[in-house]
Parts: sequence; structure tokens; C-alpha cells
Amino acid sequence: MRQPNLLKRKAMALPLTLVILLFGSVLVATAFYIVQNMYSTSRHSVTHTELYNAAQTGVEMAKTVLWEKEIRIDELTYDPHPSTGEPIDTIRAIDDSSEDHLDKDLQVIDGSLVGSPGVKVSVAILDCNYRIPGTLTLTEKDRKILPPRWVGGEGTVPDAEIGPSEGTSVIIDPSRLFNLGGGGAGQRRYVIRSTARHDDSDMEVTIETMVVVRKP
Amino acid sequence: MNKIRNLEQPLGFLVGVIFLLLFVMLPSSSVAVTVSVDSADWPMWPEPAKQINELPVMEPATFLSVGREVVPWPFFGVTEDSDSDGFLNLVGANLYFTIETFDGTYDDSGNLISKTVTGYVTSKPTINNSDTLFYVLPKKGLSSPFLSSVKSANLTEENLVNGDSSFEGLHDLSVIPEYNGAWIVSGDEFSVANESLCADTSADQYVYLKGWKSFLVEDLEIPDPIVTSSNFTFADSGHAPPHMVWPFDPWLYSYRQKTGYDATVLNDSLGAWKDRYVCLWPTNQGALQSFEVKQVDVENAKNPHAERSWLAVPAPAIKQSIYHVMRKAYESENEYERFTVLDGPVTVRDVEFGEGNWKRIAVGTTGVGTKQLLKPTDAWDRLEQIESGYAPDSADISGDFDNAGNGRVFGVYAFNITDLEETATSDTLVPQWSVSNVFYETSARNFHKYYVANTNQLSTYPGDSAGSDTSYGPYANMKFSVSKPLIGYTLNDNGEREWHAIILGIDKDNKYKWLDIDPQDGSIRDSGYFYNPTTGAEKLTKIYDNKKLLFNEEELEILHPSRILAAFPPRDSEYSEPLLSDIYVYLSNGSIYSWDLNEPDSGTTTNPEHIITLTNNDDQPTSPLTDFDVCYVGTKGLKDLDTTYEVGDAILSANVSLTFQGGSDHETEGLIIVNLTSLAGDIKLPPGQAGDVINTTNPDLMVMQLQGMSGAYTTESKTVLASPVFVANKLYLAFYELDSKGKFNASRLYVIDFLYHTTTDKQNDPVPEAETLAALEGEYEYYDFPDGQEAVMMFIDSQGNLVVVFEDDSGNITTETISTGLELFADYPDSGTDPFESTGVHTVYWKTK
Repeated sequence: MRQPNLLKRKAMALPLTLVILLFGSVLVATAFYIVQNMYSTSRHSVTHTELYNAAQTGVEMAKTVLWEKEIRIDELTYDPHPSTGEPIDTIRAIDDSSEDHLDKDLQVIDGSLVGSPGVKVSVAILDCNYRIPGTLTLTEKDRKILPPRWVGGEGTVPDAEIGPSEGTSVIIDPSRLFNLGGGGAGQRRYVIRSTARHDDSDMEVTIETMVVVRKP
Repeated sequence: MNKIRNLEQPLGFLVGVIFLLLFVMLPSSSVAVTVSVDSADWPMWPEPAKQINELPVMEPATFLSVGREVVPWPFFGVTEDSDSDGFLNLVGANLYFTIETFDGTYDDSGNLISKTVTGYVTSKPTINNSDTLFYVLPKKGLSSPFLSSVKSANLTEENLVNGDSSFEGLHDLSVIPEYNGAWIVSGDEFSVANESLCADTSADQYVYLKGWKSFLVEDLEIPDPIVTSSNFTFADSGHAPPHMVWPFDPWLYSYRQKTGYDATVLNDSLGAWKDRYVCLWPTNQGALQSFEVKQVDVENAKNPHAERSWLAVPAPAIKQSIYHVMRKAYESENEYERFTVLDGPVTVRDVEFGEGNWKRIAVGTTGVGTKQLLKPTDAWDRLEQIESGYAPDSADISGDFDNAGNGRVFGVYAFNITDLEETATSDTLVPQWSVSNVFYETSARNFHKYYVANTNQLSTYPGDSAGSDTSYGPYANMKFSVSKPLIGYTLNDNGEREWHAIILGIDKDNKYKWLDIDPQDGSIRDSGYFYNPTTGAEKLTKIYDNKKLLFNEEELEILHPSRILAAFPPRDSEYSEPLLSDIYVYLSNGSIYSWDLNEPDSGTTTNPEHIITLTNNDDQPTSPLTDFDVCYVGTKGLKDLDTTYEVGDAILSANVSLTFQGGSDHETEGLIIVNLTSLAGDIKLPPGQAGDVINTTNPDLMVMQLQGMSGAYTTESKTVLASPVFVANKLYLAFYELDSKGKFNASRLYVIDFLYHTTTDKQNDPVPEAETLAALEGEYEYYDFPDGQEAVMMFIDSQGNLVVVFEDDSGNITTETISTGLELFADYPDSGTDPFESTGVHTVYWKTK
């Protein structure tokens, strides 16, 4: 009878173990990756929602300001080179009593005021009743930041701008509904831009809305 | 002898019986009965309208609606042949409404952001014999207060048979000179009234009243002699275009910070008019008719249409309206004849009765008014107002029974419709005031009185002088007015608004006269004439052709009425609101005036200020044929143009008569564009050239003869579809032309850049023809619609599109649309928000970045 040669048998456990370990590692790594990714996506989503809510709160705060404050209704002029360096400042709505920008207290809002510590909200209230100087050539940047123009208001724009447009019938008759230009042909229109940013990320959410304000 | 004696007795009886019979019969013989009348009370009748040189006098003023959702427009029938006296039969008319339909887009809050017009629905209004009829019946002798409410006409069979006390004052109002119950008198035998609006002797005492109501309310079914399958529902409206009443006045609302006419006013004072679109249309039947237009400004409306809601006979019209049925009964042909009973335009505006007390007022006139004739001598017999043979005859009076001369009934009236809802009541349709001016002259009497009725008084004044009441005296000299009343405000020294209604008319001396009326009570604020610095007060002119008289003075005013319109002040004006500082007047004699009613010198010889008088080389006036339009030149339009025009120049455009010849009202007509700022004095127009060349011999005066045909000129008639209108430095005008056989020659639309034509290198340049309607966007072009497209009307819709309406021989209505470049809905800040609605902050759009 012949005895088995144990010394000549090959070891199979180690490779198998190594394979299993490798496979397990991959699984774990994948799991880690998936979990981390899920966590990241969830965190991003949570942050976005938080920012959106904060920006929306900013919009509502701006609406409150528009309703409660006395707004100057003179026509504004868009100037790309103002002394402030921010052309958008030239078309911010103006508080008629203080002569400050209507959104003065909304330009930097601490997150705690909107229920989201760590979030900064910035709101601009832009008056759509503005003119663009005829000498001005708009840049691409200008076009991006300019809100829609809506000339008109409550009748206190410069007299020279009042009335039907040039070369157009000026007969006063209720059956003629021409655009009456700066004569105060209706409600005032404003664009509210509310941007929310998180302190710990590059994320930001901007909501833009146009509102019509009709006061008694 | 005995035989003879025996016969004597019977013969004696016979002779006695004969004498007895003669004695009994004598009272019924005209030979034996003496009838006496007081010639001074000989009653007057309205004179039926006559043709002027065989012309129908019935063209309504064309008027263009701009930027609105509904446009009413009338279409008149053909004048029937006149009878041997030259009197016209009733002329028919139909009314149409073109109503816009659209799709809308909305924001999150449900506010309408934009419209896309999907089409236009055109239809006639529905009417019903049971529509409520009101009448204003101020009672003679009632001193205070005036009967300030109207009454519905209870002309039911029951009321008529049993008597209706509502009409107890009708004889006093409608019999001219005055009702005399015992006018035809034969001693103590009998007496008969000089006039009876109820039959005197016939069985049915209310025969005329019944017929009167039917005439006013029911479909008249006047046959159309051209399209035999169709009828006309109404009598013609003469010089009265239909007038739309809108939920709110856009001019007053747009400047509400100055006018105070804001949402609070609309809700508190004019809440009854929220979302309502109503058309008022006076017709020569004698009633002001109201039509409620349904489903206007409603997205995807399934059935936009109009329904008549009520009728009202104003006080001046009640004096004459019933004579329609009396005259019909008198005529052997038993047909209605045409009386100009309510022939004048009506204007509706919102005014203040004291600061902040806003009211909606309708002011109208009787237009041409109703000329007066002596009642025919055989009328009493024919109308069975007296037993045959007792009527007075012409020996009792000296006068013309066929020609009225200068006699007239003319009136102005006002309704307060502030609280008027769709279902009118006598509490909401309030007659605010009226003045009726009545005058005529016979051999027996020179009659002239005017009657004032307002909420404070009911008075009669002698009208042969300024009158004892200076507040109303100037009415006494007004013969008629066919111009549209102009209503607006001025500012006094304290900055307070004062409201005016301006009536432009003709006085008894054939001078152009204006009345400045307080809309609240009809009293006169001021009155005056238009002064030409070289000829004095402007007079109507006669029209001659080679020394042959074509038209007398007032015939020209009736054919081509003078026009008066207010323009918004120019930008260099001290005023920046829609007040009456820039009124323009275009008289039928060719003179144009500007008028600053806001200045202290208003009403003097220099304000209204004469600008120019336009005539042709034969001294025939360039009369306006439609409303004119005015615009101001601006910087953009003049850019890079070599022209004499300057920024701020006021430019007027009108459709006018160019030449008068023969028996037509005008042989040729044209389009003029006039620089009112630079021209002055008397100007002879250059000859009008054909419709494809604008004559600019004088760069400040452009003339183009409207002519679709080339070569031999055999055109029968031309009609512009709407008055010309300026939009963004372009002028829009369309007309249609009939050839000598009455067939359509052309339907043409012009789009003219009037500034471009003033440039030195473009004068007298031909106007090119556009190949397609869509291509009609150049600097100046015209487009002839192809055969079969017969244009009948033009307007600009709520989106700024120019819409031309066509009607084929079967009565089918179609439209064509082109863009004018206006973005009315988008630019009109009221879009999406009804001014009647509550205040607040409304979202227009919302987006995230």
C-alpha cells in the first residue's frame, strides 16, 4: 500500500482567502462609496432645499418691504459705471422717506433670521421703471443682470416722458387704448432677486420673481 | 179749383217737409257751418327728411377703435326714392359687433400674462319686443323738483284701453306750438283740438301710442333693395355712430394720481360697470338704445354676442317721435317716412359732480334736429280727428306746407348712468338734464321757446333773445349740432378740476357756434364762435360749381359735419394729464382751429385760434369726411431724415373732400397730412393726384387723392373704412370704391410713413403696391385686396393688430390681420390685473436660477 505524499499537495486556502478578502474589500469599498455618495447627495439635497427655503423667505421679506414702505416712483436710469461700482445699484427701488435703497436691510440677511444658521441671504429689489441711456451700448454682463423694463407708474415720472409714444395718435378717447408711457398707466412692477448661500459650500440658490404692487 | 185747392194742402206739407229736411241737414254742411281757428295755434308737424341734390343724408361718422376687444359698427340701407314732395321714406340700418376671442397664459397666481388672439366673431345684436322702453316726460308746469326719473312705457293693451295717466302730459310736450283742446270751434256746436296724439273720434283712442311703441321697439324689417334676402332692423342713426362704454376710463385711470380716479373710485362709485361692455346707439326712431355685449375679454368665449337691454326716449326726442306713426297714418301709401328725430351722436365719460364725486354721464344731441312744417289741411280728416268737412283750410294761414324753412326742434340731453346695471330701472337710468330749442315762423306767429329740465328746475324761456335765464340763454340761438359732444376737464387757479361738455353746432345766422356746458346741470359755462382773423366769425359756406349753387350753407354741414376732438398735451406743455388744453376743431368750411380751454382767455377771438383754412382752387372747402387724427413728431422718427419737420410738431391727418361737382356731395376725396405747427393762413390745396402718388409740393402739406382706378375716372363712390390713425410714425387708412355700376372696384389699405415723405428726395414719389398683405410693412405702401374681398370696416385690436373686416355677397364676415408693431396688451400695465380688484402684491412670474 502506498502512502499519500502530503508534502507534494498544493495549499489552496490562502489564495482562496485572499480572493475572498479582495472581493470583500471591493464590496466594502463599494459600499463605502455608495454610502458616502448617498450621504453626499442627500446632504446636497438637504442643503439645496435649505437654500431654496431661505431664498424664498427672502422673497417674502422683500414683498413685505414693498407693501409696507413708501416707494419712490420716479423713473430710474441704468448706469453701468456708477460710483458704487455696482451698476445694479442704480436700478434698486428707493425708499422715498429715507432715500435709501428699499432693500438696504435685505442685501445681507443672516441665516438665523430665515431659520437657517450658516446660510446667508441677499435680496435685491429692482425697479422695472428705468431707462437705458441712448448713448449706452449694453454689454453681455448688463444684459444678464438687467430685469425686464416696465415703463410706467403712478404719474410722477418726468413730464417730458408722459403721454402716448411719438408719431402715435394722441386723441383722448376711451376707445383708444394706446400705451400711455410714463404717465402712470398702471401698477408698479418690481423684480425681486433673492440669493441664498451656505457658509460651508459653494452652493447658492437664486429665485427671481416679478411682482405687481397695487396700493390703495 | 176744388181739385187745385185739394192739392194745396199736400203740397204745403211736402214743401214743409223739404224745408224741415234742409233745416235738419244744414248743420252738417260746410256751407252753412262757420268754423273758426286761431291761426297762431296752427300745429306744426315734423318735415320728413329730404335728399340734398339727390344724395342720401345718412352717413354715420366713421370712428376707429384702437386697442379694444369689441367694435360696434352700423351699416345703412339705401335711401328709397323720394315722393313728389321730395320726402324720403324711412332708411334702415343694421348694427354689428365684432368681438375678439383669445387664448391666454397665466402666472401662478392666476393673473393673465399674455393673450393670443384666436379670431373675431361678428354678429348682429338680438332684440326682443319686450325690451324695456323708458321715456322722459318732464311735465309742463312742474316747477320743482324736475321729474328726475324715467318711466317705463306701460303701453299695454289694458293700459291703453283703460287709459294710462303716464301720458297725460304728452299733448303738452309734443304739440307745437302748444296743445289747444278747443281750437276748431263752431260756435257752441262743437270744438276740436288742434292736435291729438290719441285719435279724437276713432274708436281706439290710443291707436297712435300703440303704433309708436311698436315702431320704437320692434324689428322694423325694412327691406334691403340690394340684398333682397335681408332686412334692416332699425331706422338709421344719421350722424350718430355707436358709442361703446367701457368698464373704466383708461385715460383717467392711467393718470389717477392726478385725477384721483383710482380703484377705490371704481369700486365705490362705478361698481355697477365692472366687467361690462355696453354700446349706446341713438337711432332716428327716436330712442337711445343700449346693447349689452356678452363674453368680452373672456378666454375661449364660446358665444360672444350682444343683446339689447333697454331703450329710452330722451326729452327732446319725445317732442317729435310719435309723429312717425301719425305721418304714416296720414300717408296714402301708409309707409314710414324719415324724420331726423334722434340723429346726433352721444358721448359717455366719467365726470365729477364736485371733487371726488364721480358720475358716468351720457350727453347726446338730436343732431340735425327736426324741421317743422305746417300740419297739412287734410290731416284732420285723414286721421279722423274731426268729422269730415270741418277741418280748417289753407285760407286760415299763410305758409309753406311743403318746405320747412328755418323752423326746427333741436335738443341736447344727458343721462346719469353711474348706477345703471344690465337691468335698467327708473332709479338707475336718470335723466340728468335736457334743453329743447323749438322755433318756426308762419304768417301768424314767430314762435321761439326753449325748455330746460334738470334736477332743480323745469322752465320755459322765450327764445327770441338771450333769454331771461343767462345760465341757459345761449341755447336759444343754436339751430343744430351734428358733431360729437366733447367731454373733459380743465384746472382752475386753485388746481381744482372743472368739467365741460362742448357742443359744436350752427346758430340761426349760419355761424359755427360752440357751447361750453356744465355736465352736471346743462347750464352754460361759456359760449362763442370761431374767429378767422381776416373774415371774422366763421360762417358756413355755400358750394358753387361754375356759379351753379350745389349746396346751401347748412347742407354742407349736414353732409360733411364739423369735427371736434381733444388731444393729449404735447411733451413741452405745462400740463401732463388728459385735460382739455389741446382741442382741435375741423370745420366743414375747411378751417382748422386749436383751442386751449384751460387758458383764461378761452372764448375770446384768439382762443380758439385759427390755424389754417384749406380750400381748392375753386374756393370749395376741404371738408372733413371722417374724424381726423393728431400726433406729435418725436426724435426717433426724425433720425437721419432730411425734413422740415421738427420735434414736437403737431401733425393732423384727415380724410377730406377735394372737389365738388355736379350732383354728388364731392367728386373726389383725398387723404391729407398737415403740419399744424408750421402752416398758417389760407392755403390752396394742390390738386389731388391718383391714389398711388402723394403730392408734397409743400412739404408741410401732403395730399393724395383716394382713387383705386387708373385711367378714366368712372368711380361711383368711395367710403373709408375708418378714420385715419397714426401709429409709430405711420398712418393707416383704408377705403373701398364702387364703380359706376355699384360693383366693388377696389378695397385698398395704405400704410404711409408720413415723415419719410417729407424728406426732400421723396416728394411726389410714387407709392408702391405691396405684393401681399404680410409684406405691407415698408416705409410707405398700399395693398389692394383681391377681387372678392370687399372690405367694410377696419380697427386695431387689443394686441395692436390692424384688422380689416370683409363681407361677401352672402353676408359672410371674414377678417385679415397685420401687425402694426404695437404691443398694446403687453405694454398696457393693467394686463392681468383688473383695476376693480383689490390692492396687493401680485406675482407676474417666478423662476429659479
